[in-house]
Amino acid sequence: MLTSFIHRFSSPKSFVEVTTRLFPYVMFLGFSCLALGWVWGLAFAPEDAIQGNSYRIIFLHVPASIMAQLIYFFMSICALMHLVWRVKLAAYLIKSAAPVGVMITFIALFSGSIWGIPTWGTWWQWDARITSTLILFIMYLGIITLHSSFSNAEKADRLMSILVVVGVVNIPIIKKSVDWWSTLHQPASISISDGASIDPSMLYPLTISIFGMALTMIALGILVSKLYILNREKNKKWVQAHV
Amino acid sequence: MFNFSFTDFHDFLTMDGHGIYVWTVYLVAFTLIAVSFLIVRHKLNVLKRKLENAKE
Repeated sequence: MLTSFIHRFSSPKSFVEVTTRLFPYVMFLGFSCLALGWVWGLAFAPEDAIQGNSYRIIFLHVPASIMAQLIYFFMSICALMHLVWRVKLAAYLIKSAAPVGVMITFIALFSGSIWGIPTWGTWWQWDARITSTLILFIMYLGIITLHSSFSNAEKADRLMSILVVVGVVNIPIIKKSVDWWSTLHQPASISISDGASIDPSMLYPLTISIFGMALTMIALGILVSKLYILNREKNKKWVQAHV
Repeated sequence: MFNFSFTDFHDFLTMDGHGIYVWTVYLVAFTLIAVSFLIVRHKLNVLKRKLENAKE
């Protein structure tokens, strides 16, 4: 029953149709939240007592870092669906999410490096959190490269899914690196179990920025996946009808 | 909560010497995200045109 449910709601055709309708709303809401969060954080949130104004990078760095990990987690769920139930759409979504993951992980690494200059006095340190995030960036690139190196798309999908599942071990390492090792990187500012360690005047714009970044990445993901699916299935009748 | 945190616009831009770091990061991120949307949108339009031509 579960298998038939998954197969019914995971056809590339219905995915493209539903997401095409949702896209403008997701993009508008994402950009609006991101603009609100950033303007609030940059202009109206108070200055940090220790870091001064350089802490304002948090409204970009934290959402980007969270999304870098969430996108990979999403890809690993898709990889399991592809390997266990042979869901074709799941493989398409992995391939589409990987370039979005590359971009957002680059933003996380870049913003962290720039933030490190005034805060730590260095733009790079082989610290557990930064190194594991760099590994995540390399994993994303590896997934794209692996898929592109096969001419047989089905075989590429399967091998890519296996690599994604193997690489998911890095996600808890990134998350827990600041607790497991003594690192230069500060501990999490927001935790599900311990709540937030930052003032509400900073927490509200940060939460809005995270929400906005998530929706913006979903909107970009919708666009990339549509491009990939139409390209991959261009010989199918429904694609001809769709355009 | 919605009080402007700086004395004037110049102060907002310089951010006590931290402005260069803050603005660089936001500018690069915004550009990357915006360019990604534009590139994918352009590729999608090209593909759609190609598929439409193939249909005719």
